[in-house]
Amino acid sequence: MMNYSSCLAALAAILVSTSCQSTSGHNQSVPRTADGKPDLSGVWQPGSDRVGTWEEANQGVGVPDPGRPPVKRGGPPPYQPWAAKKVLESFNNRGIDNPVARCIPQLDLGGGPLYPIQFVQTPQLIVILVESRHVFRLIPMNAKHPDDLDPSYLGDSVGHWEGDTLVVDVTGFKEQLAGAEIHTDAWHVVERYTRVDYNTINYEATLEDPKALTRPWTIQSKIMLRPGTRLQEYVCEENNLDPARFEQLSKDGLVKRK
Amino acid sequence: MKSRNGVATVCLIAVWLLLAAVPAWAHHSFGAECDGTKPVTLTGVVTEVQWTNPHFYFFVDVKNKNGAVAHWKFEGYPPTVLNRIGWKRNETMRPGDTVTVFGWRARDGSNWAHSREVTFANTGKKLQSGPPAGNGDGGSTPPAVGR
Repeated sequence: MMNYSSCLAALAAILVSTSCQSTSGHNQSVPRTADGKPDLSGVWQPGSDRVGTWEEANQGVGVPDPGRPPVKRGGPPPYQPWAAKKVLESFNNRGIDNPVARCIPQLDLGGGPLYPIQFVQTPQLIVILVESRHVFRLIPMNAKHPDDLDPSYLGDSVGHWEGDTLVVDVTGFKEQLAGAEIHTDAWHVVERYTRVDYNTINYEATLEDPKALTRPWTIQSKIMLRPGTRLQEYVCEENNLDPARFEQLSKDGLVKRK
Repeated sequence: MKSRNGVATVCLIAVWLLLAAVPAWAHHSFGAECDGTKPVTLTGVVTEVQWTNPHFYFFVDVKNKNGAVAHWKFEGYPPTVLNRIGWKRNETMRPGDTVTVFGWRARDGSNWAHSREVTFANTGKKLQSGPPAGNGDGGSTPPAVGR
C-alpha cells in the first residue's frame, strides 16, 4: 500500500518527467530575455514550416518542395487597375525587370527560404541580419520614424512589443513598379513576429498603399529556428552577369510573351 | 463597355497567381533567361568552376557522338546555398571530373543552361545545384489581383 511519502515521490517523478518533456525536442518553451520579452535571438529560416536543423528541414535540397508555397497571402493583392497593369507587364516580360536581378535589396516579406536570417536582440534595438544580398535591418524599439526620412529600398523600421508580439512599423520606401513587391512611396508595412514555441515564429505583415492598393491586405508565413546554421557572406555584385545578359535577351526579342 | 469591364476583370482577377509564382528569394527570373520546356541532360568533363555570387558557374566539355566537343556553361546556386546542401568548394567539383548535369536551356539557344542537379561519375553521388524551373517565370496563367 502506497504511503504518503511514496505518493509524493511518485507525484514528483511525474512532474519532473512532464517538465523534462516540455523542455526537450519540439516542445521547448519560448526563451525570454532578462526583461521578460520573448527572445528571438538565433538563426532562422523564413518561409518554412519544418522543424529541425537546416539539413533535416530541407532534406539536403536547400529549398522547400516545388509547388509548396511557404507564404500564405490574404487573398489576391487588391491592386488598383494601373498597378495591376504593371504586374501584368512584368508577367509578360517574364520578370526580367525584377530589381533583384540587379542586386537591389528587398524586404522579402514572408521570407525566402533559400537564405537564413539572424535576429540580434537588445531591449533598445533589434537587428535582423539577412544573408541574401547581405542586408541588415535596424529596428529601434519604442522609437519614432525620423522626420527627415529619405526614401529607401528597405524603408525605415521601428518596433515595439504588444504582449509577446514584436510589432515593426516600416515606412519611407522608394517607389518600385516592377518585380515581386510592386508599390509606391506611400507603401506602409506593419509586421508582427510572434514566437509561439521554441522552434517557430509566426509572421504576419499588413500592407497598405493608398496610391496602388484599394485596401490593406495581409500575408502570413512561419520562420523556423535552425540550430547550427551560420550566416555567410553573399556579395551579390561579385559576378552578376544577369543585367547585361537580360538586356541582350530583351533586344533579341526572346523574353516577352507573345 | 462589356469588353472594357472584361479586361478590367481579367486584370483584377489575375496578379495573385503571378505573385504566388514569383518567389522573392530567386536572384533573378528563371523564365527570363531559360526555357522550362527545354530540359537538357549532358555528360562531360568539367573545365572550370567559378565559385561566385550571385550564382556559381561551371563549364563542361561535352563530346557528341561524332567526337566533336561543345563547351557548355552551367549556372546554379550561390556558394552560401551550396555550402548548406553538401557542396565543398575545393572538393566537390574540380576540373577534370566527369559529371552529368540536368537543367534547362537558355532562351537564346546558346550552350548555356540553368543547372538543377549534378551527378558525379567517380562516386555516383547526386547533388542539387540550382533551383527548380519556373522561378520567376510566372507560369502560363496570367496574374490575378483582388478587389
